[in-house]
Amino acid sequence: MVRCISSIKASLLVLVLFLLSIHAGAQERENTFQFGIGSVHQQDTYLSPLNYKGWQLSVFWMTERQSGFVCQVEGHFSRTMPVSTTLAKPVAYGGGFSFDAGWEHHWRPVEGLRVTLGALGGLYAGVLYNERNSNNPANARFNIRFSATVGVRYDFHVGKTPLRLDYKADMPVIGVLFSPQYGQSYYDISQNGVGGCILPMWFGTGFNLRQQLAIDIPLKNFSLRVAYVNDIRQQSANDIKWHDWGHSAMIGFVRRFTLIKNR
Amino acid sequence: MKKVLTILLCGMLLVLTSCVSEEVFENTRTGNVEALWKIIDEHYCFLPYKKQTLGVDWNEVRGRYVNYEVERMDRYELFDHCAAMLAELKDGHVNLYSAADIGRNWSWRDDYPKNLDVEVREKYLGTDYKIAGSLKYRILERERPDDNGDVVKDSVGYVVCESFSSGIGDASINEIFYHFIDCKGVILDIRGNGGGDLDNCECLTSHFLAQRTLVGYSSFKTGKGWNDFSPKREEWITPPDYVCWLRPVVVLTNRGCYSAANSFVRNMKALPHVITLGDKTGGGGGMPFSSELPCGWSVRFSACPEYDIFGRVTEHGIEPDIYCSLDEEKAKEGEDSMIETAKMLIK
Repeated sequence: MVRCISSIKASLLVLVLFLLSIHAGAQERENTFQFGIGSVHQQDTYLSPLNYKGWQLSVFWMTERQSGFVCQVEGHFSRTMPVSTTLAKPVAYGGGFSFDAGWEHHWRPVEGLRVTLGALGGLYAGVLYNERNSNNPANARFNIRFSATVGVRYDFHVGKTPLRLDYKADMPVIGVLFSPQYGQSYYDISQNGVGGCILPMWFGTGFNLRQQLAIDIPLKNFSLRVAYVNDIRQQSANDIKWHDWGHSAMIGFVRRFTLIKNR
Repeated sequence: MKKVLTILLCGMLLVLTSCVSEEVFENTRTGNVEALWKIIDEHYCFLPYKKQTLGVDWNEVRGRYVNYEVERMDRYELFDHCAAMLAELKDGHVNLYSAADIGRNWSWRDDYPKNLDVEVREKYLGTDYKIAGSLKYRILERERPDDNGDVVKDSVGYVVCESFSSGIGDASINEIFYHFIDCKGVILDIRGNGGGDLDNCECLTSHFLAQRTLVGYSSFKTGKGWNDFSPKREEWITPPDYVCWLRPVVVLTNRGCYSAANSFVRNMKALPHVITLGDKTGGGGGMPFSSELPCGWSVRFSACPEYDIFGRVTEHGIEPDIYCSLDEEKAKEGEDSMIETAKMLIK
């Protein structure tokens, strides 16, 4: 009798799960988490006319859903020193994060190949601090942008091992950005507001691009991801120019799973 | 295939031509002098004013300092050469910093009488003075004739503010004025105050306000041209919630009052119950920014000019309401003639 009740319970559970998968629709999801280290080349004419070079640490998280919804968060921290200086080595510390979300459309022109085109909306906020400066010790970076995203994913085998090659590029196309005016202090901004500091963002104010080439190696419950990331963040506005050109090697994992949700 | 290559080439061209970068001078002797000249040329805010008042033409300065002779200099000579170029501007906020030295022009202070004897001032403070934040204070007794000619005894508060670099704080100022509650007025001695943090300057000013008050204007450069300036922006200061001193105030000044102390005098001159007494201030009416040279030396320069309530540049100092010098003979006897004059000015 007890065995019978257990069987009924198990059957009901399977049925419920089955019905949920039909009515709610099983939603495939892919989550990626990466962290990495690399080099960065910086210049910020609000702080210094010199080029700085050093290392950066970065983390990246992304979720992609079968519906095409995609959301990604990236954070980074850098420590750089002037390239040319021989006598003194002041240090600049930088950091920032970006958040983007949007939709992607997928095509599968041939077996094993997936091409992606999409649009993201998001923001980037960061700061670069130069330890040596007086009343202009730091410069903030901030923009709200809409980006175009393209991707190519190719599944192939080496021997019996299935591998995945994944390329993805995000390029902000239009938005608004923040920049202090040429000789304006942040003290002045704090007293008088950001008038004149919020400007339209487009290719003319700086070409920005984040591109990543990754290879996924399947392990037990997830895939190991090894990636190269090239991150170009730059801006030219109010006669102030800055750039962060980063190259990073990243490692992380990709998990693919199916969610069954009630509608 | 041709189409793909064309797209790729166009893409690469877009990336290459879109690099946002500024030219950096080479780390050579000439490169460093060129870089220094350019930093001042594009960022220094008083080039038109210095040309008008001192006759300093920055383009003419380039001809004298950016030349082939610098290639023969060792790094110490090069530093002195660069410092001399900056000294042409006669601006205390313009400095060149290396590990070995600070290039400067302190003629705004050194070429004039000090009008301050620190030992005599210490005698006025005594040994039992109080310290609130970075302010030293005590009550000074005085005897003065009243309107009927009778001698009356009363007191005035005496506050010494040697710098605005350290924090002051509303609570400290409140305590000082509570301590002076029976005093007829306050003498604020900022002689020798070389400046510091503008927030401290504003904090102290705010305790002398009855209402939100316009104390001056400021602007900043909007481009690389010598005359590229923003419109003048009003600078208002709001009184704090607690203690505000509205009895007579005398501010003692000398040539050593510079930068934030210069701003403080500018602010106080906008108030009806305040008299400034002493010598003209040293100036420094431009908030400094920093930059650096390819060799690693740091350079500081005035970037954001400030103006008084009449729209006048305060870079070369602010005239007192009443000129008064320190009497050296009386100072030898332990009397500060400027403090004594201030005591008698308070009615």
